[in-house]
Amino acid sequence: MKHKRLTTLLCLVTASGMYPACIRKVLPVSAPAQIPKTATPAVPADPLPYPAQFGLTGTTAPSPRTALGSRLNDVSLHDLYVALAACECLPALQTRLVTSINEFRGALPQALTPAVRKEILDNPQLKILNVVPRPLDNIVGGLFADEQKISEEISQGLLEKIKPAETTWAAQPTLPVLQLDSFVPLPATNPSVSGRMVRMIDVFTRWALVLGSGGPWSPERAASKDAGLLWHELLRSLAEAEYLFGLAGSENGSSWGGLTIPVDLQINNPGPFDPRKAYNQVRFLTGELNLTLNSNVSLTLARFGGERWNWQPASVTLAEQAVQWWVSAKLLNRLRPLNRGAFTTYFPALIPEESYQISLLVLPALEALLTERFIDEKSRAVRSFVDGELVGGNTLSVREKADPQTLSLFLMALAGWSRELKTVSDLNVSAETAKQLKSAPPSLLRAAQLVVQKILGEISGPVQAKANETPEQAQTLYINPRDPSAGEMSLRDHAQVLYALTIAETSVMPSAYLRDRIALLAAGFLRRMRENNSFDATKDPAAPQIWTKAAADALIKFYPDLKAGEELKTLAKTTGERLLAFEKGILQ
Amino acid sequence: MSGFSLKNLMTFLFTISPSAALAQFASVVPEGVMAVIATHRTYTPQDKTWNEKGVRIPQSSRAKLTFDGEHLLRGEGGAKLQSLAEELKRYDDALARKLNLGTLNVGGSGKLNIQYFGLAIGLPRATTVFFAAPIADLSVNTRFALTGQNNAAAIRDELGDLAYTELKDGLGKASQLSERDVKASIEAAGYTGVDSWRYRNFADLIFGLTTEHLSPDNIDSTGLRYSLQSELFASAPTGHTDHPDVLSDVSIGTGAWGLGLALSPAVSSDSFAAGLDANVTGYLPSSQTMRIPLSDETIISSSRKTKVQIQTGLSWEVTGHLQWKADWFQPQYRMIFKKHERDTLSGQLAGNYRSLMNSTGQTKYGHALWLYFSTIDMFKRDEFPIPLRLKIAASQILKGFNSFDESFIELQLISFLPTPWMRD
Repeated sequence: MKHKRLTTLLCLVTASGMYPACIRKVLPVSAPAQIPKTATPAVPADPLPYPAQFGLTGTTAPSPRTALGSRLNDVSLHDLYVALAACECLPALQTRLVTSINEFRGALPQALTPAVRKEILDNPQLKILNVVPRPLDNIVGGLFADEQKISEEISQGLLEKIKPAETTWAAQPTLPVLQLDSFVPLPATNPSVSGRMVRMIDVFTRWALVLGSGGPWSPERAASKDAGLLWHELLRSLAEAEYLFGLAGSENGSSWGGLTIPVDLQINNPGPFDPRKAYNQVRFLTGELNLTLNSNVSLTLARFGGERWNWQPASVTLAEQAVQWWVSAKLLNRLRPLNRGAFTTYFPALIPEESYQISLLVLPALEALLTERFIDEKSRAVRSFVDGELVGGNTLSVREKADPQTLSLFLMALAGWSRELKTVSDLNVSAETAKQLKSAPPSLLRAAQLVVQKILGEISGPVQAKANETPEQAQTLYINPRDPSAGEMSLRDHAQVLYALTIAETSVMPSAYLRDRIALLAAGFLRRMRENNSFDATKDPAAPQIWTKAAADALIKFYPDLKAGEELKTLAKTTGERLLAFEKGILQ
Repeated sequence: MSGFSLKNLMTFLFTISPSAALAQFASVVPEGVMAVIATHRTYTPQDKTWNEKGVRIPQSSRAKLTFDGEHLLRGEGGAKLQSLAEELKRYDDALARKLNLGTLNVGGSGKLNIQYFGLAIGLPRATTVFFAAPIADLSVNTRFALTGQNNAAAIRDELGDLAYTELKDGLGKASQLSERDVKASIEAAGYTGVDSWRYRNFADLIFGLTTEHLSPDNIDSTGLRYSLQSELFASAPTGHTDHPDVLSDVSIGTGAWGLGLALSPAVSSDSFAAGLDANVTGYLPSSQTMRIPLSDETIISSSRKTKVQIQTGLSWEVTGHLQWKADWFQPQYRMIFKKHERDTLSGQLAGNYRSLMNSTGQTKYGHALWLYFSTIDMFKRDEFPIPLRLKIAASQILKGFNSFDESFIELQLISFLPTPWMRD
């Protein structure tokens, strides 16, 4: 599953000229010189109108045990974003959340986004700076480049780019300012003091959000007043990916960006990972990085870069990586030629033809991290995280079994990739790469089989009948199946496990036995819902309810003959209605 | 089947007790006379056995190994099938227990012939020393028959792509399970002699001393004669004892030194005789390497081998007999009761010693008809040149508990030879 020669991997945004309009408009030479403005730090604009009790503002945890949240000690929107993307429901809420992202500034100024940077450097009028003595170049540059104007030009360029696809949206009298700064923190997270901190889990979950059903390819987007922002967020995501892997670079051969870390965690200097070129080690994206800039002036940043990234040594969680793998599989699904369907007419205009190939970059790390890191084949353990104790030293330790949420995410990722790699004929990759991709599903399937085995064998068990109660053919998830009195796992976990098992069974591992177990777990889930009288919409976080709907929808869709079908339909309906009311409340 | 180790299938088929050899020397030899004894005994084919409840059952129905999940998980189908069941258990305990590969009926049969060669020398004071060397010729054959439904393929299909390739392959192979595979798994557990075993060598040697306290020559006023003999004897542990790595072998000896006492009171007239033969044998402590079951598994792992301290239980035998005495023909009818108290086993390795001990206690009731053809009186009258005694005997076990069928027919010839110390 190595991809040392992904020779056809194209630079996404730069090579395709995704943003020519940004700079093609000649910057007015006569524009008055202005003191360059400081790049706006990541400060939230207006607070979002999300009721605190839904856990979206950070006052209430989406789940006390969320794999994403607990590992990162973070009360955030991660769970909500992932749940929405999995559920493929509530497109209006998704759009609202996407638009909210545009109200924040990212850690990486847009001048350092490779596409923009290249456009600035290639601008003929600015090339004069190359002959200006260094002490004067900023001053001279300031004469040519108005910071505000550059921003406006970028915004206008993006608008022109999106316009063919979203004419109705583009014709609106008031349009939001489009920025191309990267690594916008999630609205519910506390930004770092410097505003230059980037957490990969934030990046991955933002990508998940835009790749959900309400994304730019969605029919629902036409009804959205913010449809253009969906495309914008997708373009931003691709630009971020390009920067993260360091795929673009200057003419002298140096790469721009590159925030990957070697999978063995022996070196903590971030760097690029471009499989088109020879590489000695597989690198991947993880953890938290801090950015230091020498300047806040766009022109200076574009010309001299000078950004310094510092990776914060930390454990690599399976939850984080699973989201990354799941999102990358989803990215491939959305962008691959096979699925462009009705959007073929303007897809190439917006999205570079082979941009889907960026999703393949995670596969080498996926293979490397599974083998003897996250999966211990000998002891059949799925580890929660791998820890490079003494990063830069020699010790790599693995510890702690993965929790149900992490297992579910992992299973979703493995199922996603297995499904995507069933067919590779539409992918424009070399024969060797195609062969490698075709050979990947068996090892992905094996990992998925292990995860299901862990769920079925280690955390699920028969429902304990109460006194004077007829034993029910149902199963539930226990914190400790050997001691049911220790209690059941949360309804959220139960729902997510059901969802993940259903997706896995129907997409990559058809199994009558697994179907039976899913039916028993579904019966157990419904029983719990009956006993708990469902969720309390006024108190419970939204994410667990979205997981409930995701599970119910998936069960109804894939197992129409399920004994509890009618009850599931009712559950899906009532949960959907409640969430719809919630969605409307937000949109008002 | 539970509580029965396959290793024990034939183990208690034959344990030749000293009394069996002792019975070859029923009387005191005159002083200075040497008796030479040759005996051939053929036991009935051992295809049936008495179970612990006293029911006679075919050997083939005695050992049934159910290859279901529960037993396989305990390793009773061998390491590979145990691994297969454990793999299924990773998904669900119930799935592992659902597995059923059928039932293995294990049977065995044995053929035993024993030749006794003995010497007895008459000493003064109506005392005789004797020595007997039984040579056993034993062949044991086992039979394996797999019956019942095998659901491995159905479980494989039910698991579908959820199962690892190795598990699918394993279930596929398990669905084709045959007697041959079972034998292979038994052999994989470190056993030899799975199909058959043959032994032709000495059993426990016997030597002892017989003393006549009351001579049959003593006649009371009613014309009856009373006699009393006592015997002190010892048995040496020269016979084969159960080997932990041979599946179908059989203990021919007790593995311990035995010390015994026999008393034979009798009353007789000119034509009839009645008497009792009673003996008891105690044993010194001994040790033996054995496989100790962890619980009640059928195939005991080779890792369960350990040195076991054994205190062999007492052996009792009481026989009552009636004899008609003619000149050269003396038929005798015998009623027999035999009991072997349970052995006590202990060892360092924790395990189910009780299941092994349970199979050591035996009880038998039987009867026998002995026909003596003797030239001794004719020899005394100089009517026959050689003192000989030919015995043709048939013995039948009427009821047994936890015991093999010790029925046999026997042909014995005793010749008496003079020694320089023979008294006229």
